[in-house]
Amino acid sequence: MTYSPPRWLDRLAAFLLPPASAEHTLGDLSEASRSNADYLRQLASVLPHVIWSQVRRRATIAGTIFNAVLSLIALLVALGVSKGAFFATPAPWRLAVPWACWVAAGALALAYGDPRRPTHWSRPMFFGWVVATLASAAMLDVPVLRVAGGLAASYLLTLALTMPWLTAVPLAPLSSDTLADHARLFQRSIWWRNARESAVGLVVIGVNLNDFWSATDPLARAGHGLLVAGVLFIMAFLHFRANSRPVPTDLDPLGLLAFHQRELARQRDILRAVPYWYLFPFVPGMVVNAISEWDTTGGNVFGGLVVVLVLFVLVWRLNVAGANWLERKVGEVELLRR
Amino acid sequence: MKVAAPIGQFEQVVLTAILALAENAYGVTIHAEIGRLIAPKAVSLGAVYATLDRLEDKKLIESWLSDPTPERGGRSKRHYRLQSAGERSLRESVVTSRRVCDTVEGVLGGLAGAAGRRWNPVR
Repeated sequence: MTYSPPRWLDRLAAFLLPPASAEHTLGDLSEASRSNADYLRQLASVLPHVIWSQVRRRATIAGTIFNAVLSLIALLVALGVSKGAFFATPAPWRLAVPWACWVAAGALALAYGDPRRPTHWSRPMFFGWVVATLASAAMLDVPVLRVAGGLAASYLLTLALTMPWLTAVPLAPLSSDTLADHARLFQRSIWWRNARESAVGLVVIGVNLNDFWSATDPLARAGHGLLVAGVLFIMAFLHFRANSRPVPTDLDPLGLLAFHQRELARQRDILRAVPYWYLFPFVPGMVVNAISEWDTTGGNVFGGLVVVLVLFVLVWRLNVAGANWLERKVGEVELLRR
Repeated sequence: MKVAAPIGQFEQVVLTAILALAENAYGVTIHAEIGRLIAPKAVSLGAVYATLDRLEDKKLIESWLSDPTPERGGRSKRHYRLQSAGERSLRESVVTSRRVCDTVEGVLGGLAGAAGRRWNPVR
Protein backbone atom coordinates (compact mmCIF):
# COMPACT_ATOMS: atom_id res chain seq x y z
CA MET A 1 0.00 0.00 0.00
CA THR A 2 1.42 3.38 -0.95
CA TYR A 3 1.92 6.01 1.72
CA SER A 4 -0.06 9.23 1.66
CA PRO A 5 0.83 11.99 4.15
CA PRO A 6 -1.90 13.30 6.48
CA ARG A 7 -3.31 16.68 5.59
CA TRP A 8 -1.55 18.51 8.44
CA LEU A 9 1.83 17.19 7.30
CA ASP A 10 1.17 18.10 3.68
CA ARG A 11 0.14 21.61 4.76
CA LEU A 12 3.22 21.99 6.95
CA ALA A 13 5.48 21.00 4.06
CA ALA A 14 3.62 23.32 1.66
CA PHE A 15 4.04 26.16 4.16
CA LEU A 16 7.77 25.57 4.57
CA LEU A 17 8.66 25.04 0.91
CA PRO A 18 9.18 28.02 -1.43
CA PRO A 19 6.19 28.19 -3.83
CA ALA A 20 8.41 27.82 -6.92
CA SER A 21 9.58 24.38 -5.75
CA ALA A 22 6.54 23.24 -3.78
CA GLU A 23 4.61 21.40 -6.48
CA HIS A 24 7.12 18.74 -7.53
CA THR A 25 8.85 18.54 -4.13
CA LEU A 26 5.58 17.73 -2.34
CA GLY A 27 4.90 15.03 -4.92
CA ASP A 28 8.41 13.58 -4.53
CA LEU A 29 8.14 13.61 -0.71
CA SER A 30 4.79 11.86 -0.84
CA GLU A 31 6.06 9.22 -3.27
CA ALA A 32 9.44 8.63 -1.59
CA SER A 33 8.18 8.33 2.03
CA ARG A 34 6.86 5.28 3.84
CA SER A 35 5.67 6.86 7.12
CA ASN A 36 5.16 10.25 8.76
CA ALA A 37 8.59 10.08 10.40
CA ASP A 38 10.17 9.20 7.05
CA TYR A 39 8.30 12.09 5.40
CA LEU A 40 9.60 14.54 8.02
CA ARG A 41 13.14 13.18 7.64
CA GLN A 42 13.00 13.58 3.84
CA LEU A 43 11.51 17.08 4.23
CA ALA A 44 14.35 18.07 6.57
CA SER A 45 16.91 16.79 4.05
CA VAL A 46 15.31 18.56 1.08
CA LEU A 47 14.26 21.87 2.63
CA PRO A 48 17.67 23.64 2.96
CA HIS A 49 18.59 22.76 -0.64
CA VAL A 50 15.27 23.91 -2.04
CA ILE A 51 15.37 27.21 -0.14
CA TRP A 52 18.98 27.82 -1.15
CA SER A 53 18.13 27.03 -4.76
CA GLN A 54 15.37 29.66 -4.79
CA VAL A 55 17.57 32.21 -3.00
CA ARG A 56 20.18 31.73 -5.74
CA ARG A 57 17.67 31.93 -8.56
CA ARG A 58 15.39 34.73 -7.34
CA ALA A 59 17.34 36.82 -4.84
CA THR A 60 20.70 35.92 -6.48
CA ILE A 61 24.04 35.76 -4.65
CA ALA A 62 25.08 39.19 -5.99
CA GLY A 63 21.78 40.75 -4.84
CA THR A 64 22.13 39.24 -1.36
CA ILE A 65 25.72 40.44 -1.02
CA PHE A 66 24.62 43.88 -2.21
CA ASN A 67 21.86 43.96 0.42
CA ALA A 68 24.29 42.77 3.09
CA VAL A 69 26.89 45.45 2.29
CA LEU A 70 24.36 48.26 1.92
CA SER A 71 22.51 47.42 5.15
CA LEU A 72 25.78 47.02 7.07
CA ILE A 73 26.91 50.48 5.96
CA ALA A 74 23.47 51.92 6.85
CA LEU A 75 23.57 50.28 10.31
CA LEU A 76 27.12 51.48 10.98
CA VAL A 77 26.14 55.04 10.03
CA ALA A 78 22.92 54.91 12.07
CA LEU A 79 24.77 53.64 15.13
CA GLY A 80 27.40 56.36 14.81
CA VAL A 81 30.45 54.32 13.97
CA SER A 82 32.51 57.45 13.32
CA LYS A 83 31.78 58.82 16.77
CA GLY A 84 32.25 55.45 18.44
CA ALA A 85 29.11 55.81 20.59
CA PHE A 86 27.97 52.26 20.03
CA PHE A 87 31.30 50.72 19.15
CA ALA A 88 33.02 51.97 22.28
CA THR A 89 31.11 49.26 24.13
CA PRO A 90 32.88 45.90 24.20
CA ALA A 91 30.32 43.98 22.15
CA PRO A 92 29.84 45.35 18.61
CA TRP A 93 29.33 41.75 17.48
CA ARG A 94 25.79 42.04 18.91
CA LEU A 95 24.96 43.90 15.71
CA ALA A 96 25.66 40.73 13.72
CA VAL A 97 22.40 39.03 14.75
CA PRO A 98 19.92 41.76 13.68
CA TRP A 99 22.01 42.37 10.57
CA ALA A 100 21.90 38.65 9.63
CA CYS A 101 18.11 38.64 10.23
CA TRP A 102 17.75 41.61 7.87
CA VAL A 103 19.83 39.96 5.12
CA ALA A 104 17.73 36.79 5.55
CA ALA A 105 14.56 38.91 5.30
CA GLY A 106 15.54 40.20 1.86
CA ALA A 107 16.77 36.86 0.49
CA LEU A 108 13.90 34.74 1.84
CA ALA A 109 11.17 37.24 0.91
CA LEU A 110 12.24 36.93 -2.74
CA ALA A 111 12.80 33.16 -2.51
CA TYR A 112 9.21 32.73 -1.28
CA GLY A 113 7.71 35.12 -3.85
CA ASP A 114 5.11 34.24 -6.46
CA PRO A 115 6.89 31.96 -8.98
CA ARG A 116 4.99 33.52 -11.90
CA ARG A 117 6.47 36.96 -11.15
CA PRO A 118 10.27 37.09 -10.99
CA THR A 119 10.49 40.21 -8.79
CA HIS A 120 7.55 39.43 -6.49
CA TRP A 121 8.43 39.09 -2.79
CA SER A 122 6.53 37.50 0.05
CA ARG A 123 5.37 40.22 2.42
CA PRO A 124 4.56 37.90 5.38
CA MET A 125 8.06 36.41 5.12
CA PHE A 126 9.68 39.86 4.87
CA PHE A 127 7.82 41.45 7.76
CA GLY A 128 8.25 38.32 9.89
CA TRP A 129 12.00 38.63 9.55
CA VAL A 130 11.87 42.39 10.12
CA VAL A 131 10.14 41.71 13.45
CA ALA A 132 12.87 39.14 14.21
CA THR A 133 15.50 41.76 13.31
CA LEU A 134 14.10 44.37 15.69
CA ALA A 135 13.36 41.82 18.44
CA SER A 136 16.93 40.51 18.30
CA ALA A 137 18.26 44.09 18.44
CA ALA A 138 16.13 44.76 21.53
CA MET A 139 17.23 41.54 23.23
CA LEU A 140 20.91 42.24 22.54
CA ASP A 141 20.62 45.81 23.80
CA VAL A 142 21.30 47.42 20.42
CA PRO A 143 19.44 50.78 20.00
CA VAL A 144 16.26 49.62 18.25
CA LEU A 145 15.19 53.00 16.84
CA ARG A 146 18.58 53.59 15.27
CA VAL A 147 18.60 50.09 13.80
CA ALA A 148 15.08 50.67 12.39
CA GLY A 149 16.16 54.02 10.92
CA GLY A 150 19.30 52.59 9.32
CA LEU A 151 17.44 49.64 7.83
CA ALA A 152 14.61 51.87 6.58
CA ALA A 153 17.20 54.01 4.76
CA SER A 154 18.80 50.88 3.33
CA TYR A 155 15.38 49.62 2.20
CA LEU A 156 14.46 52.91 0.49
CA LEU A 157 17.83 53.08 -1.24
CA THR A 158 17.46 49.50 -2.47
CA LEU A 159 13.99 50.35 -3.81
CA ALA A 160 15.39 53.37 -5.64
CA LEU A 161 18.25 51.35 -7.11
CA THR A 162 16.04 48.52 -8.32
CA MET A 163 13.06 50.61 -9.44
CA PRO A 164 13.33 49.88 -13.20
CA TRP A 165 13.16 46.12 -12.55
CA LEU A 166 10.52 46.21 -9.80
CA THR A 167 8.12 48.34 -11.81
CA ALA A 168 8.81 46.73 -15.16
CA VAL A 169 6.16 44.52 -16.69
CA PRO A 170 7.85 41.19 -17.56
CA LEU A 171 8.75 41.38 -21.23
CA ALA A 172 8.32 38.65 -23.78
CA PRO A 173 11.57 37.60 -25.53
CA LEU A 174 12.95 40.08 -28.04
CA SER A 175 11.00 40.04 -31.30
CA SER A 176 9.83 42.61 -33.83
CA ASP A 177 6.62 43.00 -31.75
CA THR A 178 8.40 43.61 -28.42
CA LEU A 179 11.36 45.59 -29.78
CA ALA A 180 9.93 49.00 -28.85
CA ASP A 181 9.17 47.83 -25.27
CA HIS A 182 12.69 46.42 -24.89
CA ALA A 183 14.21 49.67 -26.17
CA ARG A 184 12.10 51.79 -23.78
CA LEU A 185 12.90 49.57 -20.78
CA PHE A 186 16.60 49.78 -21.59
CA GLN A 187 16.52 53.58 -21.80
CA ARG A 188 14.53 53.75 -18.56
CA SER A 189 17.10 51.61 -16.74
CA ILE A 190 19.88 53.92 -18.04
CA TRP A 191 17.95 56.95 -16.79
CA TRP A 192 17.58 55.39 -13.33
CA ARG A 193 21.25 54.43 -13.23
CA ASN A 194 22.27 58.01 -14.01
CA ALA A 195 19.74 59.38 -11.49
CA ARG A 196 20.99 57.23 -8.60
CA GLU A 197 24.66 57.83 -9.50
CA SER A 198 23.96 61.57 -9.54
CA ALA A 199 22.15 61.38 -6.19
CA VAL A 200 25.10 59.54 -4.63
CA GLY A 201 27.44 62.04 -6.30
CA LEU A 202 25.59 64.96 -4.67
CA VAL A 203 26.00 63.33 -1.25
CA VAL A 204 29.74 62.81 -1.87
CA ILE A 205 30.08 66.44 -3.00
CA GLY A 206 28.22 67.64 0.12
CA VAL A 207 30.46 65.63 2.47
CA ASN A 208 33.63 66.80 0.74
CA LEU A 209 32.56 70.46 0.62
CA ASN A 210 31.92 70.27 4.36
CA ASP A 211 35.40 68.77 4.87
CA PHE A 212 36.86 71.37 2.50
CA TRP A 213 35.56 74.28 4.60
CA SER A 214 36.42 72.72 7.95
CA ALA A 215 39.97 71.58 6.99
CA THR A 216 42.88 73.74 8.11
CA ASP A 217 45.62 71.92 6.20
CA PRO A 218 45.89 73.32 2.63
CA LEU A 219 46.83 69.86 1.32
CA ALA A 220 43.67 68.33 2.84
CA ARG A 221 41.63 71.16 1.31
CA ALA A 222 43.19 70.47 -2.07
CA GLY A 223 42.36 66.76 -1.70
CA HIS A 224 38.69 67.41 -0.94
CA GLY A 225 38.53 70.01 -3.73
CA LEU A 226 39.94 67.48 -6.20
CA LEU A 227 37.40 64.89 -5.07
CA VAL A 228 34.57 67.36 -5.67
CA ALA A 229 36.01 68.11 -9.13
CA GLY A 230 36.24 64.36 -9.85
CA VAL A 231 32.61 63.74 -8.91
CA LEU A 232 31.48 66.74 -10.97
CA PHE A 233 33.35 65.30 -13.95
CA ILE A 234 31.61 61.93 -13.49
CA MET A 235 28.19 63.58 -13.22
CA ALA A 236 28.86 65.63 -16.36
CA PHE A 237 29.99 62.50 -18.19
CA LEU A 238 26.80 60.68 -17.18
CA HIS A 239 24.69 63.62 -18.30
CA PHE A 240 26.36 64.37 -21.64
CA ARG A 241 27.99 61.12 -22.80
CA ALA A 242 26.27 58.25 -20.99
CA ASN A 243 22.78 59.73 -21.00
CA SER A 244 19.55 57.92 -21.86
CA ARG A 245 17.89 58.89 -25.13
CA PRO A 246 14.18 58.89 -25.89
CA VAL A 247 13.09 56.08 -28.18
CA PRO A 248 11.94 57.67 -31.47
CA THR A 249 8.31 56.95 -32.27
CA ASP A 250 8.49 57.72 -35.99
CA LEU A 251 10.96 55.00 -37.00
CA ASP A 252 10.12 51.92 -39.06
CA PRO A 253 11.00 48.53 -37.46
CA LEU A 254 14.43 48.40 -39.12
CA GLY A 255 15.21 51.95 -38.00
CA LEU A 256 14.13 51.12 -34.46
CA LEU A 257 16.27 48.00 -34.53
CA ALA A 258 19.30 50.03 -35.62
CA PHE A 259 18.62 52.63 -32.90
CA HIS A 260 18.36 50.00 -30.14
CA GLN A 261 21.48 48.20 -31.34
CA ARG A 262 23.45 51.46 -31.47
CA GLU A 263 22.31 52.35 -27.95
CA LEU A 264 23.25 48.93 -26.54
CA ALA A 265 26.68 49.20 -28.16
CA ARG A 266 27.13 52.77 -26.86
CA GLN A 267 26.36 51.79 -23.27
CA ARG A 268 28.53 48.66 -23.62
CA ASP A 269 31.52 50.80 -24.65
CA ILE A 270 30.80 53.21 -21.78
CA LEU A 271 30.88 50.34 -19.26
CA ARG A 272 34.13 49.05 -20.75
CA ALA A 273 35.66 52.50 -20.26
CA VAL A 274 34.64 52.70 -16.58
CA PRO A 275 38.26 52.77 -15.25
CA TYR A 276 38.88 56.00 -17.18
CA TRP A 277 35.75 58.07 -16.56
CA TYR A 278 34.39 56.60 -13.31
CA LEU A 279 37.35 55.36 -11.26
CA PHE A 280 40.29 57.50 -12.31
CA PRO A 281 38.63 60.89 -11.48
CA PHE A 282 38.71 59.86 -7.80
CA VAL A 283 42.43 59.06 -7.81
CA PRO A 284 44.03 62.56 -7.63
CA GLY A 285 41.85 63.65 -4.69
CA MET A 286 42.37 60.36 -2.84
CA VAL A 287 46.13 60.43 -3.30
CA VAL A 288 46.37 64.04 -2.07
CA ASN A 289 44.13 63.20 0.90
CA ALA A 290 46.25 60.14 1.72
CA ILE A 291 49.43 62.26 1.64
CA SER A 292 47.85 64.93 3.85
CA GLU A 293 46.79 62.35 6.46
CA TRP A 294 49.89 60.16 6.30
CA ASP A 295 51.72 61.89 9.17
CA THR A 296 48.84 61.54 11.61
CA THR A 297 47.32 58.19 10.71
CA GLY A 298 50.04 56.47 8.57
CA GLY A 299 49.03 52.80 8.76
CA ASN A 300 45.30 53.49 8.66
CA VAL A 301 45.70 55.45 5.42
CA PHE A 302 47.52 52.49 3.86
CA GLY A 303 44.77 50.11 4.99
CA GLY A 304 42.14 52.47 3.62
CA LEU A 305 43.89 52.61 0.25
CA VAL A 306 43.95 48.81 0.08
CA VAL A 307 40.19 48.72 0.75
CA VAL A 308 39.61 51.37 -1.94
CA LEU A 309 41.75 49.39 -4.40
CA VAL A 310 39.70 46.24 -3.75
CA LEU A 311 36.49 48.25 -4.23
CA PHE A 312 37.83 49.69 -7.50
CA VAL A 313 38.63 46.22 -8.83
CA LEU A 314 35.16 45.03 -7.79
CA VAL A 315 33.46 47.96 -9.55
CA TRP A 316 35.58 47.40 -12.66
CA ARG A 317 34.77 43.65 -12.80
CA LEU A 318 31.05 44.29 -12.27
CA ASN A 319 31.07 46.74 -15.16
CA VAL A 320 32.97 44.31 -17.36
CA ALA A 321 30.26 41.74 -16.59
CA GLY A 322 27.63 44.35 -17.47
CA ALA A 323 29.42 45.14 -20.76
CA ASN A 324 29.52 41.42 -21.62
CA TRP A 325 25.79 41.17 -20.93
CA LEU A 326 25.17 44.11 -23.26
CA GLU A 327 27.39 42.47 -25.88
CA ARG A 328 25.09 39.45 -25.80
CA LYS A 329 22.08 41.76 -26.19
CA VAL A 330 23.72 43.39 -29.22
CA GLY A 331 24.12 39.88 -30.67
CA GLU A 332 20.43 39.12 -30.07
CA VAL A 333 19.40 42.30 -31.89
CA GLU A 334 21.76 41.41 -34.75
CA LEU A 335 20.11 37.98 -35.03
CA LEU A 336 16.69 39.62 -35.17
CA ARG A 337 17.88 42.09 -37.81
CA ARG A 338 19.07 39.22 -40.05
CA MET B 1 35.19 21.18 -30.91
CA LYS B 2 33.56 22.37 -27.68
CA VAL B 3 35.30 21.55 -24.40
CA ALA B 4 33.16 19.54 -21.96
CA ALA B 5 32.52 21.12 -18.55
CA PRO B 6 34.37 19.18 -15.83
CA ILE B 7 32.10 17.27 -13.43
CA GLY B 8 32.63 15.63 -10.04
CA GLN B 9 32.11 11.97 -9.24
CA PHE B 10 28.64 12.41 -7.75
CA GLU B 11 27.59 14.60 -10.68
CA GLN B 12 28.73 11.77 -12.95
CA VAL B 13 26.48 9.36 -11.04
CA VAL B 14 23.49 11.71 -11.27
CA LEU B 15 23.99 12.23 -15.02
CA THR B 16 24.28 8.46 -15.45
CA ALA B 17 21.03 7.93 -13.56
CA ILE B 18 19.22 10.49 -15.73
CA LEU B 19 20.64 8.89 -18.87
CA ALA B 20 19.57 5.41 -17.74
CA LEU B 21 16.05 6.50 -16.76
CA ALA B 22 15.45 8.34 -20.05
CA GLU B 23 11.82 9.55 -20.13
CA ASN B 24 11.16 8.50 -16.52
CA ALA B 25 13.83 10.67 -14.85
CA TYR B 26 12.38 12.74 -11.99
CA GLY B 27 13.36 13.31 -8.34
CA VAL B 28 12.23 10.01 -6.80
CA THR B 29 13.34 7.71 -9.64
CA ILE B 30 16.69 9.48 -9.96
CA HIS B 31 17.21 9.07 -6.18
CA ALA B 32 16.38 5.35 -6.42
CA GLU B 33 18.64 4.81 -9.44
CA ILE B 34 21.50 6.58 -7.69
CA GLY B 35 20.93 4.33 -4.66
CA ARG B 36 21.32 1.32 -6.96
CA LEU B 37 24.46 2.72 -8.59
CA ILE B 38 26.29 3.61 -5.39
CA ALA B 39 25.06 0.71 -3.19
CA PRO B 40 25.87 -0.08 -0.41
CA LYS B 41 26.30 3.66 0.21
CA ALA B 42 23.16 5.77 0.58
CA VAL B 43 22.40 9.36 -0.30
CA SER B 44 19.63 11.70 0.86
CA LEU B 45 16.97 13.12 -1.45
CA GLY B 46 18.25 16.60 -0.48
CA ALA B 47 21.75 15.86 -1.82
CA VAL B 48 20.21 14.69 -5.11
CA TYR B 49 18.16 17.91 -5.33
CA ALA B 50 21.25 20.03 -4.72
CA THR B 51 23.19 18.25 -7.46
CA LEU B 52 20.33 18.43 -9.94
CA ASP B 53 20.13 22.15 -9.26
CA ARG B 54 23.86 22.60 -9.82
CA LEU B 55 23.82 20.57 -13.05
CA GLU B 56 20.93 22.67 -14.32
CA ASP B 57 22.86 25.85 -13.55
CA LYS B 58 25.80 24.44 -15.51
CA LYS B 59 23.36 23.82 -18.38
CA LEU B 60 24.26 20.12 -18.43
CA ILE B 61 20.62 19.09 -17.87
CA GLU B 62 17.24 20.70 -18.41
CA SER B 63 13.97 20.22 -16.56
CA TRP B 64 10.26 20.74 -17.04
CA LEU B 65 7.09 20.14 -15.04
CA SER B 66 4.83 17.32 -16.18
CA ASP B 67 1.06 17.29 -15.86
CA PRO B 68 -0.26 16.39 -12.37
CA THR B 69 -0.49 12.64 -11.69
CA PRO B 70 -3.16 11.09 -9.44
CA GLU B 71 -0.74 8.69 -7.67
CA ARG B 72 1.19 11.58 -6.12
CA GLY B 73 -1.80 13.38 -4.68
CA GLY B 74 -2.30 15.28 -7.92
CA ARG B 75 1.20 16.75 -7.85
CA SER B 76 3.33 17.34 -10.94
CA LYS B 77 6.73 15.76 -11.49
CA ARG B 78 9.82 17.72 -12.45
CA HIS B 79 11.41 15.69 -15.24
CA TYR B 80 15.05 15.95 -16.21
CA ARG B 81 17.00 15.13 -19.34
CA LEU B 82 20.59 15.53 -20.44
CA GLN B 83 21.54 18.43 -22.70
CA SER B 84 24.20 17.90 -25.34
CA ALA B 85 26.77 19.57 -23.04
CA GLY B 86 25.81 17.10 -20.30
CA GLU B 87 26.32 14.16 -22.65
CA ARG B 88 29.75 15.49 -23.61
CA SER B 89 30.75 15.97 -19.96
CA LEU B 90 29.52 12.50 -19.05
CA ARG B 91 31.40 10.85 -21.92
CA GLU B 92 34.61 12.67 -21.03
CA SER B 93 34.36 11.84 -17.32
CA VAL B 94 33.66 8.18 -18.11
CA VAL B 95 36.78 8.00 -20.28
CA THR B 96 38.82 9.42 -17.38
CA SER B 97 37.21 6.98 -14.91
CA ARG B 98 37.96 4.07 -17.22
CA ARG B 99 41.62 5.09 -17.43
CA VAL B 100 41.81 5.39 -13.62
CA CYS B 101 40.13 2.01 -13.22
CA ASP B 102 42.44 0.29 -15.72
CA THR B 103 45.48 1.78 -14.01
CA VAL B 104 44.37 0.64 -10.56
CA GLU B 105 43.53 -2.81 -11.90
CA GLY B 106 46.90 -2.99 -13.62
CA VAL B 107 48.77 -2.22 -10.40
CA LEU B 108 46.62 -3.82 -7.71
CA GLY B 109 44.68 -6.33 -9.79
CA GLY B 110 41.45 -8.00 -8.77
CA LEU B 111 39.39 -4.77 -8.69
CA ALA B 112 36.91 -6.15 -11.23
CA GLY B 113 36.38 -9.23 -9.10
CA ALA B 114 35.96 -7.15 -5.93
CA ALA B 115 33.40 -4.95 -7.63
CA GLY B 116 31.59 -7.91 -9.05
CA ARG B 117 31.74 -6.37 -12.51
CA ARG B 118 34.42 -5.64 -15.05
CA TRP B 119 34.23 -1.89 -14.50
CA ASN B 120 32.35 0.25 -11.98
CA PRO B 121 33.26 3.92 -12.07
CA VAL B 122 31.54 4.98 -8.87
CA ARG B 123 33.38 2.67 -6.49
